[in-house]
Amino acid sequence: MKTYRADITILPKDGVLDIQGKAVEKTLAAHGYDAVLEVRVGKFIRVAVEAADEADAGLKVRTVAEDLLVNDLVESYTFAVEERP
Amino acid sequence: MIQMDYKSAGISDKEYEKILELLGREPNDLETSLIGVMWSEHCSYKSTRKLLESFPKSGRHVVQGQGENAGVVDCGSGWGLAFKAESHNHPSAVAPYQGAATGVGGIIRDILAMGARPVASMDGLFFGLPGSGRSRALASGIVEGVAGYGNAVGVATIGGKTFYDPCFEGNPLLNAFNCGFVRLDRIVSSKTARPGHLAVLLGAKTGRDGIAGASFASRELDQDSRESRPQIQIGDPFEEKLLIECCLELHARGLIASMQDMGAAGILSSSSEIAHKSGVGIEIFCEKIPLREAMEPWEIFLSESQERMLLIVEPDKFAPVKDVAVRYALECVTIGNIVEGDRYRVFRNGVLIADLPHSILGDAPLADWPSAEPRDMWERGALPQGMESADLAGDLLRLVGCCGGRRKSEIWEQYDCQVQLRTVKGPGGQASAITVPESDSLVTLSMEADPWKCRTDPFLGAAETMAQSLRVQAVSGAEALGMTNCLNFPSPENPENFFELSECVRGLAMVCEQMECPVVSGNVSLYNETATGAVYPTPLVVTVGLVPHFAYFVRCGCAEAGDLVYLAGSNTGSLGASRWQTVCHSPSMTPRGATVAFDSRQEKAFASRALATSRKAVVHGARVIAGGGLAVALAKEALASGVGMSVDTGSCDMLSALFGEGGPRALYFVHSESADKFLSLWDGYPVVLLGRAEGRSLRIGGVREIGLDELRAEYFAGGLL
Amino acid sequence: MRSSVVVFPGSNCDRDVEKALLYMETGPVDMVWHDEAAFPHRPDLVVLPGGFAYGDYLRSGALAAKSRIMDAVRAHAEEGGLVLGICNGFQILTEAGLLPGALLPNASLRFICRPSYLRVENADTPFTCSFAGREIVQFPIAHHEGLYYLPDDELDRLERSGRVVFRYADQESGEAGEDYSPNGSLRGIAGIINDRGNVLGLMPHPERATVQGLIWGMDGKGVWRSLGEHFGAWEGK
Repeated sequence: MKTYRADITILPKDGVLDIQGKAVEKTLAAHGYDAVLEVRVGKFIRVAVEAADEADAGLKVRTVAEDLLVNDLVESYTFAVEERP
Repeated sequence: MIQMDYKSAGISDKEYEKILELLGREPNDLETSLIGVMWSEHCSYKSTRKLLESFPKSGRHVVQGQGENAGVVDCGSGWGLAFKAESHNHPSAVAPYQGAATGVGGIIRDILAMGARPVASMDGLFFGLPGSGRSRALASGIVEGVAGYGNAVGVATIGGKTFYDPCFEGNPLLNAFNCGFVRLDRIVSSKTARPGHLAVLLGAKTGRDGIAGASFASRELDQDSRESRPQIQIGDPFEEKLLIECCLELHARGLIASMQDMGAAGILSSSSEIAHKSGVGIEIFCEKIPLREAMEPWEIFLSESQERMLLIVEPDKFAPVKDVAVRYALECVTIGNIVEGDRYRVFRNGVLIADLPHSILGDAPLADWPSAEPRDMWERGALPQGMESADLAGDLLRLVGCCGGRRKSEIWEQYDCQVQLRTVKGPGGQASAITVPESDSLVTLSMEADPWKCRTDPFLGAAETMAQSLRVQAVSGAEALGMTNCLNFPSPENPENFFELSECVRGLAMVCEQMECPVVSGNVSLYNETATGAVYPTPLVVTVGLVPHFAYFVRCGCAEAGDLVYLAGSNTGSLGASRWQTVCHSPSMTPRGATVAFDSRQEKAFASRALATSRKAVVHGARVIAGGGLAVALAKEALASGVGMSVDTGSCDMLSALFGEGGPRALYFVHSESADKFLSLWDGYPVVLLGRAEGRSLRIGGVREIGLDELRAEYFAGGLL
Repeated sequence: MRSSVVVFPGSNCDRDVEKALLYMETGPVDMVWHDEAAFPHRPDLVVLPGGFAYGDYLRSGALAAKSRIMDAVRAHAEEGGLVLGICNGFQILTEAGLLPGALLPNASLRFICRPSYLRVENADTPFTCSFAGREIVQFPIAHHEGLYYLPDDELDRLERSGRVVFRYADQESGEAGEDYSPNGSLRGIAGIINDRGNVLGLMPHPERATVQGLIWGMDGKGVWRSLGEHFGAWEGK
């Protein structure tokens, strides 16, 4: 078994009201940051998982994400797995 | 360990000599840092202990006075109320959300340590003018921190005080008050540790949070205080909620001999206090303390990691204690032993690394600061000559706007003011009120502070602050049981500051003494100053009162159309350091002129009649005249009750009559059928009939009529600038 | 009526619900720790109270939905037993899949504690049968995540099947809808019921408007009265 680090990024789904993103977007605009076109505010979760290989680690991460970390009605997620030295 | 020369531990040359004398040898580095933090202002009150001795401490309602984590007063039916206020000014200035949140968490644990269930909080907030961006950011962070923590932990925030002045711009103040009910025969004491007991740490792991926060709070904020940030503690209200339930269950089942919360100087101060107060020795084993990261002993002992309690447990009860802790998913570890003797001993892996008499930690030498009356005192106290108003109605609207209705309701709405289902009167009135368990009586709370009046006359200003809080109690129908306070001042090392501090304490002590309202707990926060300026002297008081039956509770905001409006008390007040003088008259918002002198005979005559009025239930409502004077009191009552007022002050000095402040005065709203009864109750005290509650506008003789809608718009839209 | 109130580690309205039920004399109340596998006595009503069940650091109600007692709650619901989720309890029910939708942060991004006026949209449930249809009632709110969200088409379905039970409303005019949501809740939704009609979730707190003498009224009594009446032989208040 090896240890993997998974970085999970969770964002509000497209179409779901992202109030925090809108609030930050408005504030940035008010401060003159014209180059910023859009802001979305989500969550970042880093987990360490024990797995046989990278594919297995991905599977395990997907399981916890879908079971608990992400509410798929309102959130979408991506993740990257990397072996930990 | 870093080389701890005594100066970097905050110890002065004189104090170091004292240490050598007490110890008979040089302290080692660890000992030096332990002594340094326990002798810091924050932990030792070395600058103020002598002053505070003048507070009256005992009274017939006091069950537990000063010297424990909180005071306790008797509320009848076998229940006591534990209460205390504490400042968290410096942390809130540097990290507003976490500073405020951990302030709330800390005061809740103080109440918990008495064996009481924390039931209600209040907060005293002092900010710079809302116009400035920095002030706004500080204010919203602090309010969100109070809300974020208090709401989650399930303790209602039922009132408080919000005050704006430029002097708080760089020095915002957060004073947190909490209270909780405890059965009188179940109060926890810190004097009950006995040799053979175990010292048990319950709750969060120890990390580097807030290392030396206690000495941080005892210094002026550095110009760039952001550098101090790593010292800020992070709060976890969820952990605190578990801690509350767990400690209360342990206590209810008789499993603990004593407990202490871990606040300033965490493990060190909690364990040394319990040893000192119980008159026993204590041995702590460093390696047993659960850590979040590798730490040196001095860091472990000074860490202010939140959500930890020290339990004192008989050895055969440790197993059941542990079982309960496990159920609440809390860490629970024996970290030391109570032993015979008077030593505070620290071991690491069997090696003795600190060995001090606990008295050296518990009895810091006093700091004696010179006191000198500020050179401009006379000028501050002199009321400008020939003050007049070009537009009384305009001034009134401005003052109503200053009340900042919108800002305040934005604050209150973020606080859960109902959880635990005890709240009879929440934020937005004069006294807040909660029900007493298993009885028909109510506990009433009143928080007061008046930095402007304390600036122009520290003695009279503090006296007026205290007296005002007591008037609110009496008019609400409550007998005052006791008070707690936070004394917020700049550096005591400046003789003028020390003078103001001494005078404020003298003013508070006098009123407490004469009105028989003992001081059961309190807190001092000094060094509230930055390069840009210092805070005005800001003593904040919270009085606790008891209304023996809910039917006796007299509220504001209850005037009914047709009510006669009476003014009980003098028909003028002082314009000295009043809202009108400072806001409307002074272009630079500088308070000038002293407030009225305290008159105990008048105050007592007022209080006894106010109480009698409550018991006879002859009035619809009442309102103590406070900031902004009679005119603002009428306006606020009209807004709160939704009924207009039509009155005449009958005074030729319109300014003092409308906007004068100070002294025992209240508005009463009385049904005409009860008028005779009301007047007979107030026989022997000045009472005038001002007019009636009626219509949809505020009509004060000699002042332009103001519609309730205009008043409301100003109340919600207005700001100080 | 026998009630079980589930106590999660961070519940803070559990005692308040107990207090309200005892005050209303609805019958025995059992407080059940989240880690239990079963209810100590077979309950007629299960209440998931307000609070911050597990600190709510991930999403409100997310961790609580996975706790042991929730299997028993699910089984109870499947047998047709009544389940009432208040505030955090509502959030837990959506996270557990017992009710559709999700509760998002309030539009103001702030915690809001104040009285809220509701229109009873469906008075034909065990929880609301003592109210008149379209009656305006006041239950206080106290939450940070109360914006009810469901995709549009599913909202339509929810509406058509009469499953919106409480909607934020104007006290005076009785109009209800999104304009009156204190938290931005879609279509003003404050409380919904499942298909079968035995699981109700709502953000406002009826237990905070029950006991006499406290702030913010007693309209919440109607919920407890409805439940008492639903179970027949009730002699409570």
